[in-house]
Amino acid sequence: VDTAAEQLLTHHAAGRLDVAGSLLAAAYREINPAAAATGGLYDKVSSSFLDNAPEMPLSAGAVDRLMQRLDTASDVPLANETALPHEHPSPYPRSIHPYLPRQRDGSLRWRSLGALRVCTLFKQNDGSTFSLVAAAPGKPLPQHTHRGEEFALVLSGTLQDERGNFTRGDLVYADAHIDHKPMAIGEHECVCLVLTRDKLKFTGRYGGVLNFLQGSR
Amino acid sequence: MTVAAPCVAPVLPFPAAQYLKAVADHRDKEAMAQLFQYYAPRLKGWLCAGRLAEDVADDIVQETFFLVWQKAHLYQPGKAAASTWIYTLARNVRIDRLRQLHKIAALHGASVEIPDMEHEDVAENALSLRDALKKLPAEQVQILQDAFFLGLTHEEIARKRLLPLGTVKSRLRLALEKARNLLGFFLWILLLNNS
Repeated sequence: VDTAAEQLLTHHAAGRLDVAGSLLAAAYREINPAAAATGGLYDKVSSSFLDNAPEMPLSAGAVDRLMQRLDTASDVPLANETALPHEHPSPYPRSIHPYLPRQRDGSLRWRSLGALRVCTLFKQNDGSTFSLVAAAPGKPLPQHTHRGEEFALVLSGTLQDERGNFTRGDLVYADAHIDHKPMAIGEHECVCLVLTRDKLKFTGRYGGVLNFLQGSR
Repeated sequence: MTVAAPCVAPVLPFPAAQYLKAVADHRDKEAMAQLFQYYAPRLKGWLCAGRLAEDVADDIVQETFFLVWQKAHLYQPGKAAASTWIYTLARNVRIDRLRQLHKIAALHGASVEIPDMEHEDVAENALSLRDALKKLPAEQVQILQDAFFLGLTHEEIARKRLLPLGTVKSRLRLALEKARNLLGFFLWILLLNNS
């Protein structure tokens, strides 16, 4: 768990992330045992400050409203409640299942973008994009820098860049200071859950075209 | 000559776990009111510190306690402190509200995730962590609070505390390391007491 990942887990524990950031952190904690342990500890650290939190009075009558609501709530399904069955086996973390865009037949809606396949979960008003990105092995992705920042959580396959190889559960971070050339290696496609804050700026030979394509999607 | 004993009233921790159990086992509304009275203003303080509007924060707090009422039976006392469970639940409600506010579509009925704490270590509960934190120097506790409760970035902490960025990072690391080690220490005491 490196610095960027640690900051993500810290902000997640503190409850300060946006929707995409929270889902990414939840997915990371789900598939990476070290992140799960770290996140669990961070939750305890964060919640231990609740006792000394600055108190803010609720709007008038808040407790009465709650009690009224409890009175009218149906009390039936208490015991033996179990979680909904999840799709098994799925390479995708449970946290993101409700956000996966599907076709009529239930398969995921992918589109091609150069050497990549992209399946966009959603975009936020601030320009952040939350997607699955699949890269075929052996084809270098366009070299790019970032105007904002990018987190890629590897879900399957192997991703390689200047810093090393990354496999399932690894969180790869890049920002404006990193001009990296990631490539999927090995036999299988590499699928990542990618959170991009602000648009990527491609810098390689086809950079202009790719920037244009990205803007038009 | 006698030396006066320091007169410090013991601060009893709020018995959140007992109240939660009363809610789960006996549908105890009085216990529910106690939980609300204690945690609601604190949760609101925490939410508003995170730049949420007051009415949104009120709404999140209401929804959180409604879920506490409905899901109290899912809380497992051996696995996490009650405060951690309630805090995590509020955090999940916050995200659900943000999702609605920003109109992010979720296909098959995403709802608020109820913390199940299935990966939690039984002995490592927040009570022992709170004890562990008491052993840390105040400057380290402050910085932990900035990062883990107020959600400030390292840069924001450096500005707030007038410290170099490097000092913030090393102090945080040190504090976490110590908290972790102290937790290990308390775990030992717990094991010795139980054997």
